[in-house]
Amino acid sequence: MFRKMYKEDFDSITPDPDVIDNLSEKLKSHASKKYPRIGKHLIAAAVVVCLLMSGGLMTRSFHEPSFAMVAFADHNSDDKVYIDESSSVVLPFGKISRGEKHSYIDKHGKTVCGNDSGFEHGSISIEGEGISSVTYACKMGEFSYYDSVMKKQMEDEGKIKVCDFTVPVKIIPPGNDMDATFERLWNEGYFDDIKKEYFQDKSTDISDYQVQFGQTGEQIEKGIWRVEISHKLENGYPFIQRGKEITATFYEERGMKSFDAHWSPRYALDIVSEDKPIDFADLPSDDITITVHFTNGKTATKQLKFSFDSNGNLIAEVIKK
Amino acid sequence: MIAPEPQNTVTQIERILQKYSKMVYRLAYARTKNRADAEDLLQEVFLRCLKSNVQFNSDEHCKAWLIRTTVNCSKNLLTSAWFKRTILLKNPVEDPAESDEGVPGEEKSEVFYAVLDLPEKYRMVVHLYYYEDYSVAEISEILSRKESTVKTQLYRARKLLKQKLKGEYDYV
Repeated sequence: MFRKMYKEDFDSITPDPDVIDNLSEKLKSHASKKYPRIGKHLIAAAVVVCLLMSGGLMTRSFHEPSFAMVAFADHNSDDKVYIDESSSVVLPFGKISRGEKHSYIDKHGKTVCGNDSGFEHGSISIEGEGISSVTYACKMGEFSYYDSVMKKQMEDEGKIKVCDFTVPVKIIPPGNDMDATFERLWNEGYFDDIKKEYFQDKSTDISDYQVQFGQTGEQIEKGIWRVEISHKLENGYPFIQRGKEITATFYEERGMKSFDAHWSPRYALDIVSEDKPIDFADLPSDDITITVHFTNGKTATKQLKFSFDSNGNLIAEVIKK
Repeated sequence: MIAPEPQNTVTQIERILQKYSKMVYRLAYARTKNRADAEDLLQEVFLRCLKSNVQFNSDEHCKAWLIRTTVNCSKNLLTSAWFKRTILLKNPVEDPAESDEGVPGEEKSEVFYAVLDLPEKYRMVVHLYYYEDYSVAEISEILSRKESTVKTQLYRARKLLKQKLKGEYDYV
């Protein structure tokens, strides 16, 4: 009831169409400013410089595989910082912060005090020639990698979603036993037309699948559920890697973006959330190992130390061997 | 699925604008409580989207990025001296009759005013939970807050709402 009323009220909160039109125009004009016309003589000079530089790079890549490490924030990848081997650098993401104090009563009736904690997300990546994959490893935090190309391929091959359809809410009332109601109706033959259309060459045992219910604002008004049946993947989604070690693979269509990996410091956020005074500089550091695999079979490894300064900024420092 | 491209092109942003402008605007409105600031935030978020090279791996990724950026941009707005002065001069929720929410003649339920009257930090989780249908775990991930924090904020928000609405609604 509450949710329905809130949605109905907010459905009518929409931007003025003129604002959208103006914004659309503004975006177009910003984009055109971003790529100004360049004089022919400047292009010629740039071509010469590029040829000279690429010649140097090509020569180097044949003899000694190398790569550069970069970091950028989620909200602005233009703000890219190269992690230089000569000095420590403040990264454009990763600022950790402590928010307001809060408390709650745990299951034993005890009042637990803590603090809100925040972390500005971003990615690290590598740049270089002839790279086939990159392995990121850390000791304290966690890496995550989203393989969009693999996901699209799996979707195209029908390995994720089997089908989706709508069902009246009155048939499956909202509540904790929605799954059980759906399973009963499935087994009683209520969805035989769905089975016939989508499950002819598949198992019809609904426990082999994952069933999800959802609604848009319009579907709430119409009193229908959107039901999505997907394959149950034993070990989660293979296109999402999360853990102490992940490997990012090169995809031509995504270029260097293939190698973007997220790092997050759950261990540090837990400490920041505790009800104790804190100096961010005292938070434990994390050791990062980046191993780059080149197409010629060679590998190169660099190690980094991630730590925080007293203001909560994330600092990267190359560990020299 | 938004196909990954090497850079956010105008076409791509246009598509995102058409698909998510209402979502961003509503979230901005829930945060700022007035249309003019919500429109400013909407523009700021999409300009950042154009300027950044963020690669959206999926619709979910795109939506989560927009939500996070809206929240971050609104933090700057809420702490600006101009915004504080504006709020001091006019607090729409204290006097809904003088507020600018909705179009003239359009009535909102007491639920709407009760939510807008909540402290700012609760309004975000309430909006994401009740309007966008995100789970506690998803809100925790999007807002980079601990699940326990999100649960506490939802619990407190519900408690305040029950007081304001005199327990007339279920909150499931």
